Order: sequence, then C-alpha cells, then structure tokens
Amino acid sequence: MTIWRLELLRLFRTFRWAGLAASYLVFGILGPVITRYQEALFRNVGGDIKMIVPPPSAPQAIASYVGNASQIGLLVTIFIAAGSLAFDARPEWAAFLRTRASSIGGIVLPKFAVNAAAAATSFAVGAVAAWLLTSVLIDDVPVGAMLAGIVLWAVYLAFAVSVVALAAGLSRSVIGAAGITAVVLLVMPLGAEVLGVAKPWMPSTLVGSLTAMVAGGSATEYLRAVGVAALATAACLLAAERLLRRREL
Amino acid sequence: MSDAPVVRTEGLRKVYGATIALDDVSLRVEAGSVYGLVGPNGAGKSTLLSILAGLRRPTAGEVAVTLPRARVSVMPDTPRFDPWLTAREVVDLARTLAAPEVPPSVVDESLSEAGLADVATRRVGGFSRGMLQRLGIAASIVSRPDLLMLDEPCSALDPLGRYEVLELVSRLGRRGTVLFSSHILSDVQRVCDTVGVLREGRLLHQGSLDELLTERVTPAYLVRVRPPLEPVVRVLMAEPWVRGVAESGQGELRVEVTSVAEAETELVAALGRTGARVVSVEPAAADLETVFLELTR
Repeated sequence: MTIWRLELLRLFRTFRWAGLAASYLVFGILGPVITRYQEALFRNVGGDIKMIVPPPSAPQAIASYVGNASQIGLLVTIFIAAGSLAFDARPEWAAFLRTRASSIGGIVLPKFAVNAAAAATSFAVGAVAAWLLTSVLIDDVPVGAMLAGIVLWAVYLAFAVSVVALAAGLSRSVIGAAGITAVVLLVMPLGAEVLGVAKPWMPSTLVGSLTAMVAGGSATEYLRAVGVAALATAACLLAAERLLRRREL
Repeated sequence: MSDAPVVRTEGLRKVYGATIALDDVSLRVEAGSVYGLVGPNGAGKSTLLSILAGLRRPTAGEVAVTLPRARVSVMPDTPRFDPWLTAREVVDLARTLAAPEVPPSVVDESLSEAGLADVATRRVGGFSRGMLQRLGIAASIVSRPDLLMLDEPCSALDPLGRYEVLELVSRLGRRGTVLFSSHILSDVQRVCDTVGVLREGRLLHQGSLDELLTERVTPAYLVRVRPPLEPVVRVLMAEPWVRGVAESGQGELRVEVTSVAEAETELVAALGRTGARVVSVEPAAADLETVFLELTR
C-alpha cells in the first residue's frame, strides 16, 4: 500500500469518483441537448412571448458544457481535492502520515497527481459525451480541436488542484482550503480582465480554450497560458511542501 | 540496558501564547529501556512526545534523537485512520512508508501481536476506540523500530486489553527502546524500568523506578495490633523519629518515620513499651501512586 494507491482507494471506495465524473458528465449530456432543443423549450414555456434564439451550433453546445464545467465541475473538483490534500484537518491521521513518510513531498505529490488526473479524466468524459451528442444532434465537431481543448483544460485543472495544495498549506481545514482556492480561481479571471495585457498569460484563459478551439481557434494562442500554468503549478506545489513542512501539528 | 541515550533533551521549553506547556525539561532515555512518562492530564506529556516525534518545534532548548528517523515509530494517543481502509491496509501503509524493506508478511504478524488477526480484512470505520488503539500499535511495530514512542497506549482499553498491550510493551522493551506516556500509574509500574514524572510542564523526577520508589518516598511501616489502638498511637507519636501515625485499616497503623535506620532500631522496642498485642510489623511497600502524589502535591 502506497500513498498513490491510498489516493486511488479514496476516490473509488468513497465514491468521490462518481461525484466528480457526474459533475462533468451530466453537463456534457445536458449542454448539447439543451442547445439543440432550446428553441422548443422556450416555445413551450414562453406563452405569448416570442423568443428569438440563434440556431443551435456545435461551439454553442460545447460552450454550454464548458460554462457549467468551469463552475459546478470545478467546484466539485476543488472540494474533492481539498478533502485529500488538507490532511492536517485530522491531526491523528496527519501524525500517522508525517511520522512515517520520508518527506512531505512524498505525501503531497501523489495526492496532487491522483486528484489532478481524476479531474482531467472526468472533464474528458464530460467533453467526450458533449462531443458525441453534439455530433449526433447538431453538427460535426472537429476531433483535433476537441482533443487539444481537453489537453488545455487538463493543464488548467492541474493548476487548480495545485492551488488547492497551496491553500491546504495555508489552512488546515478542508473548507478553508477549498474556500481559498475558490476565491483565487474566481479572482484570477477578473484580474485578467482588469489587467488586459496579461490576459493571454493567465492560466484562467485556458477555461475558454475548448470553446475557442471548436470555433476554429488555434492552440498556439494558449501556449503562453500553458507555460504560466505549468510554472504556477510547480510553484504552488513547492510552496505547499514548504508550508506543510513548517507547520506544527 | 546501555548507558547511551537514544533520546536526550536539554532545557526544553514550549510556549503556546501565555501558556508554558514545557519548562526546562531535560529528558534522557537510554537505549534498551522502557521509559514511562507519567503525569496528570495537561502535564505536557503529549507535547513532549510530539516534539520528540518532530511534529512540533520547541520554543527553546535542544532535542537529540540519535536514531535515524526511519528507526523511530510514534503512536498518538487517539489513533484515527481513513475509515474505508481495512486494518491490514493501514498496517501495510505504515510498513510501506516507514520501512519498505520489511517483508509484507510482517503486516499480519504485527496485527496478530496487537490482537487484531481476526479483523485484518475489516474496514476500520467500524472499530471501537480500543481496537483503533491496538491498530495504532500494530502500525507502530510493523516497521520493527528501535525506538517506539507511545502516547497513552492503554487509555481506551479494557482490563484484558491493557494487560495484553502492557505485555506487548514489555516484550518490545526487550528488543528496543520504548518511551510511553500514561496517567495510569500501575501500568507504568508494571512495565517500566525508568520513570519521568511530569507536572505542569516540568520534569519533577527522572530515574530508575526502584530508585524512585525507595528514595523519593517517606519511609513507612504497617503495624497491625489488637485494639485498642489509641495508646499505641500516643506512644509512637511521642517518639522523635516518628513523623506521623495514621489508621490505614482494621487494626492497622501506618507509621511514617524520619529514617529507616532509626525505625529498624527503635520501632519494635517502642511497640513493646505500649504493652499492645502486636500481630505484625512490615515495611510499607511504596507504590508509584504514593510517590507520584508526594512529588506532585
């Protein structure tokens, strides 16, 4: 039994995997379906009011999925990752791990990697569902664009989980770590809007990558954000390791 | 037991805000000893063990644990584990993290030693506090440590469980060094050869148990006489070497004396002068509880 296996068991035995996958898969299904039938939906509930909606398109369906994934899905990801990375929330369990593991990094890294991989996999499952349904109900979606968008989102989710690790170094509690992360990830795109020039460099820019790719955008537009997200992920993990190592139980 | 200390602290101090948790604690745990750290609740035992385990930092003073970290194992007072793990998985995780070179077969041996062989495949979420404490012990011994630090290892156990764990501690003491804290003095007296008495963060006494019991307690004798007792009490209280006389049971007097030598010379003669019918005279066996109360009073 290793920390890697421990984290996998945490995902499967506590059914966190189901919650995580469902939070993306549900919107992966609902996004294209609602986009396809929104005119009919509005017609039925609108009464005498005449609704004018644009004809359904593939980018619109994928944007619907991404919009929900970046809110509900990301929030679920943050809480599940915080439940694992804020291990000091239970001092007795933390004492068990800390007095036996050869380093704090040996605890944090597997927890980060498993949670980031689980989040990326869940996002990919939702995206594949959105892709298939969009192709069946609305229009073809370019495979390359979808795959590139999923990879860019995986980078963003890894960054988000690394922020959870850093937040767990700042706050012992699961709620505290999740709350700090949510605020950081919420403030980041607002900050990017205010700064303007820095926007292409901000990891939060990756949130819109899948929609933009499906609409014909280029992956190279996101290379700067990918680079910054990768560096920020490494920096967050190093800072988390340092903070957790210095913390007293 | 060798003279080399495996754990040594000098002037250890730990302060939380305005509270002094440890004050000038100079601990010395020698290799091969079973060291009992006793003290009332809040004395600083858990804080001291946490510092020795590296989970907290001292405010001042020195800490030296001469063994490599991998050869030291620690069990907190109320072990808790992820409830969806089985007992075997918990102990195997401890083995993999602390001593991956130890063969996996030792996992079941450790569970067996801790009395959990029958529940090895059960998830620990349904375990009682006593079972969790046993599991904590199994997870602590699986790495075959040279130094085992146990914080209140018997606090949640029933009498049989306590007996078994104390036997285990005693066995472990024969193959390594054990440092364990407890407020159950009879447990410490049963298995420890060295004792440290902690109160309000200060180490009041440290030394061998025998030394503590013989040197740090007021010498006393138990005298059984036929009634009436009052004349005997009156005569004994008049003696300059008698510090006090108290009835300690049916026809029994506890006579505290200033020195053993004078008592051995004078006590029988003094009883003879009272004219009382003496049934028996014996030295009062000092127990740790008596010493502890005297030290902490």
